[in-house]
Amino acid sequence: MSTPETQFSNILALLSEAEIEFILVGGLAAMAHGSAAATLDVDVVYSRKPENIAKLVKALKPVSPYLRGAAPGLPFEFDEKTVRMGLNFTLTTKLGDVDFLGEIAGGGTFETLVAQTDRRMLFDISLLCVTLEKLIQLKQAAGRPKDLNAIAELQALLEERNKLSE
Amino acid sequence: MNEDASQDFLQEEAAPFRADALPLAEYIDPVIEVFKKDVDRTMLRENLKLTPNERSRKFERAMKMVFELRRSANSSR
Repeated sequence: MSTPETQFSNILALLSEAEIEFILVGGLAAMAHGSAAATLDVDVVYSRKPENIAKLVKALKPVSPYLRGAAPGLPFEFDEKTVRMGLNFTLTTKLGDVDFLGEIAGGGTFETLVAQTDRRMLFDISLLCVTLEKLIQLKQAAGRPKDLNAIAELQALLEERNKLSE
Repeated sequence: MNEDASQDFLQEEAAPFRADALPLAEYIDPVIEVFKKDVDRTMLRENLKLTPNERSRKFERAMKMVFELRRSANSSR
């Protein structure tokens, strides 16, 4: 199976143009703060308000969202009912892989996390991005062995950034 | 556990999320300190000189190469 190329800027433009409420987290948020690590997908925390879910479903329809890693042909439909009944979705689309998180360990929902974000310009799009301090906490809370390197890099980044502001 | 006790257990509410219960971002974990020794700080310092928008364009160029390499590796199998 071929590896689809994730079109980071197109995914974020799609979400932004549809006026979906979301917060950038994960590897792309780390990059926004200065991380040099690669990431293969887009991770966002989305608002679970009904109107936001409706916008999300409508915006994603043209890019054929499907469960990542699932066998093809399953009766999966990314519609409002599916999103309401579920919470976190790891999807593959025509634009690449995207994770839509209704809740995130250590950060809660969109509404609780939004206080720890700042607005940043990425790919010429203005986006809400989780702060570096909060991103470190999210990685710590996830408690995954694969995140140890990422936490080390993000803490080093925080130290370097603090040195610049001294 | 008898049946009543098990019902009570099942009906117990999950503890509410508390952001202040998390360790601070600067928390020094000895394990992380070991990993930190391998971090290339020159890359981080270079990235900090750029704006977030410039970082995103640099990242996009680098990732195009990563995806190209992955495609080449897959097609040569």
